[in-house]
Amino acid sequence: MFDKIILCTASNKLIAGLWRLGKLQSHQVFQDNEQGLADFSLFLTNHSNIKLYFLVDAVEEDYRLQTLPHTSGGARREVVERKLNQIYRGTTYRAAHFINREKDKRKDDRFLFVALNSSDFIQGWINIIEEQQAPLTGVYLLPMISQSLVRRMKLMAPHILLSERLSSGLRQSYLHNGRLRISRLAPIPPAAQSQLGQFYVTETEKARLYLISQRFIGSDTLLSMVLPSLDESNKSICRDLEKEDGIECSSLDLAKFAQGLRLQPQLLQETPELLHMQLLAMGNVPDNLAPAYLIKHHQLNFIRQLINGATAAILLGGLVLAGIYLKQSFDDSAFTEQAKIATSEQNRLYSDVAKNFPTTTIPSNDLKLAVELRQAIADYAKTPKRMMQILSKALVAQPEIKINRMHWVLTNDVDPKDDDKTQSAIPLPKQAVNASNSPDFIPDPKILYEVAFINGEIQNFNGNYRAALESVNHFIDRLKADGSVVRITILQAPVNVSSYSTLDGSTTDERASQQSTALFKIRVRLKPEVSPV
Amino acid sequence: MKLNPQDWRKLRNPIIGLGVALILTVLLATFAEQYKSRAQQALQLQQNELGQARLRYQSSGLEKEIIVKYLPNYQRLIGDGFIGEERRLGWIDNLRTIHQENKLFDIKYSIASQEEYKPSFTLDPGPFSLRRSIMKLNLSMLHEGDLITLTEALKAKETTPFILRQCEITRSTTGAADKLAPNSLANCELDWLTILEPQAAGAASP
Repeated sequence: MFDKIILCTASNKLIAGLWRLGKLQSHQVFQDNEQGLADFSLFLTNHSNIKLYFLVDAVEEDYRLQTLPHTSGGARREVVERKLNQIYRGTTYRAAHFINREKDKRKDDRFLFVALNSSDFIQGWINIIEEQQAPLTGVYLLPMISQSLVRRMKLMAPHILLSERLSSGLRQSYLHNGRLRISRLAPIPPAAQSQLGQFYVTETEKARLYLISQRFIGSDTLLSMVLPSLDESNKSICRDLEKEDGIECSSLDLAKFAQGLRLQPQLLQETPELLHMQLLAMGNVPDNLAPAYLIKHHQLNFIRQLINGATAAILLGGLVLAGIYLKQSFDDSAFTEQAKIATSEQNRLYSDVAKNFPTTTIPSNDLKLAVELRQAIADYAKTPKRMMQILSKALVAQPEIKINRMHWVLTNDVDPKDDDKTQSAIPLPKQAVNASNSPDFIPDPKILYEVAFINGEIQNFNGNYRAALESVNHFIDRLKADGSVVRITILQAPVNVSSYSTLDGSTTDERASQQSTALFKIRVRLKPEVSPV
Repeated sequence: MKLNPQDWRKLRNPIIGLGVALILTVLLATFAEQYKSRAQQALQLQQNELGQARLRYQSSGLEKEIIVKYLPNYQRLIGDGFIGEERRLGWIDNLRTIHQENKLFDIKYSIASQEEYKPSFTLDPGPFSLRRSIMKLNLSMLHEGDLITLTEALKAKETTPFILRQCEITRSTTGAADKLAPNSLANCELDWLTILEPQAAGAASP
């Protein structure tokens, strides 16, 4: 999981390094022959399921700077793919590296399209990787790592020509504002080994002219040449370059830089590509040139690792959660035991005290409740006495009124009904007339009220309904005057003068020898005498 | 990336592992959560019990005061018949005594069978079982005062706790030729209320 294998092809050989947690553990070189391929196959067998990164350092490379209309997401992928097909039709290894957006005009997207024009020289290695179903993450161009190299070296010049001596030859990469624009590899012929200074001057001049011809730089552009070196040898070359080509040149201490990357400098003496491999192992992964089918095993591996990781996380989470719950449970159980002991102690103390209590079969509160309940029932126990007194008081002043029936009820019914079967008075329409001392009075359904239904008549009635009505109204007024009365409802009147009912009679009623009766019925509700417990 | 059957075979074991891990985790977490809930409930119950025990001990002085104050009254209520079985014979004797002492007309009575009672108005019997017997009284009266005499006398006896629920007084239509003949009739209904102690109520219930 923390291991990486970085491969790098360079001049008919393959360098394979094993990194663990970003530190080089070992590296091997495989020659591009039958034995080398067999050894590489064995190497992969011994290191199965370790991610592979394939770096390519070869002259069969192509760089093209292109601008495309600004797009994003799926549209960008589509546009880029179409452009790649247009530029590199039939090329297997290709990629588009986004540089930036132009600052003027349409603010188009600027891309660097890169490809391997020929892949024959890596096909042998790739075939073995495929056979072994090794998880290849991608194929990358070595100069693409140079961007990370320049960034780490903190080189800020706008026009940098990075000249690196590798196993394959002299690699010169032009970077504008730290972003790669183009790179070229110039193999060093054996004859030039003794005149490296001259070789560098010649190749640099060629590179400068090419950059001018491609309009990457102008003829007066100050080009900063960077020569990384393990020793002081490059300093004289730098002097030659400044003298011959008139460009700014600086030699960089590669040994110190490698040490900063936890890479032994002496390893770079034989295998300078290890520096780029180290940067790749440290996570500086550029754009992949390999087609999707080549990296499928890696993607499957990645998905498998994701699922395994999720499995482990779920199990771990479950265990942690269960652990927390169990810890809380044990804590609660311990507290429960403590509480049990404390309860026993309190019970013991109470038992000691309760020994002196009078003997009772039920709890003390129930004793009190029973006594209070008896009192509450006694408080509810009313008689019709109060109602009778109120009626008597009102009747004293009105001897013409005679009470024939009184139905006294102690009820919590909000609208109690009478089951009177003797009535003969004229019933009022549904909206009975209310007379109340408290207009806002609403009966409390939890309290018992004294209610009386009074059936009465006007004695010696001579057919004068007006006088009869007035008499009943005066009677009601007298009842209302009593402070105990909370509401009086006229249920039946001597005569119903409502326009909504029929009214029968005779104009000779008053003179008729057969006197009719003037009956009425009212409902009287009293206020509660005392508040019940 | 399109996956073919061979790719799915490679992913089969991790997916099965993930499923098993999910099931195991859910089971484990559920078991642990239930265990925790049970422990919490047990703790809560024990803490409540402890609180009650503390309160009972702290209020033991007050409890003693209540017992001393209310136990005699409670025993008197048992003696009066408010707590326990209602004493119907005693009540009939009382009624007869009132009748004779006040020289009332004939009083007809009817006591229905006792039943459990849940009043619709405010009357909380707590743990006691409230019982009711509906009594009907039919009384011929010389005048309305006879009813008051009867109800006041019943109330004054303070034996059977009752609530007079309704009384219908009607004037006699036969006329008053005889001055000692009844002029009106009263039909009353009373709720005779008693309570049973919790343990007695438990034994009485079927």
